[in-house]
Amino acid sequence: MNLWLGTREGLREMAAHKFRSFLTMLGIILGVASLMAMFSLTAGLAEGFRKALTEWGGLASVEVVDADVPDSQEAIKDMSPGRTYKDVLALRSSAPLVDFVSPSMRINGNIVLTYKNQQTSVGWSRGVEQTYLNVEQYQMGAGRFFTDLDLEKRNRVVVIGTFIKQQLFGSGNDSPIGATISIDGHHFTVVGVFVDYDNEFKNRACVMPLTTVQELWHGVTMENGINQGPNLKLDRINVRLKDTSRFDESIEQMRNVLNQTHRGIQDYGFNTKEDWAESVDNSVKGVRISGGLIVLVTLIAGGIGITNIMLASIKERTREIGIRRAVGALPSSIFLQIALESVVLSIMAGFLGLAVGYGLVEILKKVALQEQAPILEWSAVFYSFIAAVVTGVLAGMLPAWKASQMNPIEALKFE
Amino acid sequence: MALIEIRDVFKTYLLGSQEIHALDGVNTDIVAGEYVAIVGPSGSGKSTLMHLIGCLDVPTKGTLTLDGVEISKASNAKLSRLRGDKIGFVFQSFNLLPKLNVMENVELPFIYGGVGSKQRRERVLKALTAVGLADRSKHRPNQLSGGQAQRVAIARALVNEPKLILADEPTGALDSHTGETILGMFRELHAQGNTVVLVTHDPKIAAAADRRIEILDGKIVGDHRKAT
Repeated sequence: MNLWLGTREGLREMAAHKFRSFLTMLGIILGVASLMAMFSLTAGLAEGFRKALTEWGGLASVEVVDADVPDSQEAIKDMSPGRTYKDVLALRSSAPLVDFVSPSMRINGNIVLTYKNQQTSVGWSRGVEQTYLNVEQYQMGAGRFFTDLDLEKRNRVVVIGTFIKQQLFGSGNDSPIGATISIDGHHFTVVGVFVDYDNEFKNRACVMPLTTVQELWHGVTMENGINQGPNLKLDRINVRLKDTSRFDESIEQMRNVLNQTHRGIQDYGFNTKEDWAESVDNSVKGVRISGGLIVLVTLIAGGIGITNIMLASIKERTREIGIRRAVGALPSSIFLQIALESVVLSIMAGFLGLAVGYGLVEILKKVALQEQAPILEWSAVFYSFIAAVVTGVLAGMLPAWKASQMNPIEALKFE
Repeated sequence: MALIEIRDVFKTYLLGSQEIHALDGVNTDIVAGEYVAIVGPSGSGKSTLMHLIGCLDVPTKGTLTLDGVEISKASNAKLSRLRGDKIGFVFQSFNLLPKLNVMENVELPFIYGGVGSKQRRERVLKALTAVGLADRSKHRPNQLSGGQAQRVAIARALVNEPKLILADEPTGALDSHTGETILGMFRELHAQGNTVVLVTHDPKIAAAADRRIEILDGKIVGDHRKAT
């Protein structure tokens, strides 16, 4: 039978019962709309996480961390010198897959910063090298960063974030560059200010040359009242990988280098953002699967709605089907016609659902957190629509089959 | 060869455990160009015979050949095609589809046969002209009188240029005057060379045909031809 004529009949049938058709479609409309909203929400969520990840250096950023040694090495674990500057030098010279190595040393405790009569305390301040900019992805907003000379001479210079700047210098006219501030009682010259970040944590930065921090705050280690000499351990080594597509290889290379400097003691590990990214991906997948299941139930309910109405509709049109059979309609033509009606219905419902879904996403955009605002992807639109059509096709099967099996003589007698 | 050959045809229904012989050994031929009335009271088996001739059903026993095609063993789909190609039905209650206009109702058989849209329109118009309703093509069935509705049904039966026009009590729902007009139309169709088979319980209507097959209790009890 002619497809176009069949489609026309389907549209006509729908137009003849507008309200009934709308109610029939409602399940599909809601299903499609929620599918779209769900896809957009999770896409927004994933995008928000991905952005945060990039702000922290992305996948290329890896931290060398302490790890528990294996049981077999428990007795000899003190043979390892631990995480020291030697690791940094070794990584720089022998791990070509590592682009930048940033050692850092934090100042323990709450550090008080003073400028004139303004005072603030910072939760974290560290001694770092120039590579800090590359690895932690900081950019200078004003002034300069440290130089080799600052590191060599252990100059008392400091670079601060905008939050600290605001705390100390306020909106006054004093330029922070060149100003002298007091850090934990030592005088430091501010040489630079980082750019302003959305991330409040990054704006609280207060960094000094690594050598300066080591001299002033870690020059002496006391243990049981005995001076053990300077503490040369580093509390963090962060690196930036050259090529994230060779991620595993890069980690392996670093492991080989560190195995040498740690004398084979495996008291180190790697904190990668890949674990984070993976867990984000997994939770997005999880939300999508559970959300998808809920929507699937909605769609099944919608599909049953269509089946139900169409069964009533073919009953009502028994005589019409008899007439069509009498003038030469094959059982397959009747099947196709009823199935087409259901497809037309569900395509219509699909379009309406997309419109409702679009509205829903727009509302969610206003309600959701800014950095996790829903994102409408074309694939979401496509899949939602396909879901509607598939539901319609399946829903029409049973009524179409029943209609096609009607006995023409009985159908013609139907009142 | 006759257009329709009916040989020892039985149609048996099971009512519980009891066999009901709706047709009990029917033999007859209908030749192309004949105008035949099948007449009998209700329950005589005439409707069953009409269903068989109209390829709506198949005999339990015996053979029925329509235009050289043996239908007793034809599949459901094959029967449908035979109906579409060779038979034009006219029913007592018109059986027009209320949602379609006159033109679309007449066009209906073409939905299931592969005829191009241009040729389709031409033939629909020709059929409507033949029944004198070309000016009503955009009307809905409920805007027509009974006589007009039956003429539309006749146009629909004609549009495929069938071998056989099969009318089941075509005047049953009409007043006698309109009924006569419709019968006149069948007479005219016959005069143009069409084969017309008319099924009725009313001997007066049967008298309009050239040949009268009388049926009672599933058997042919009389076969009369008008003297020409």
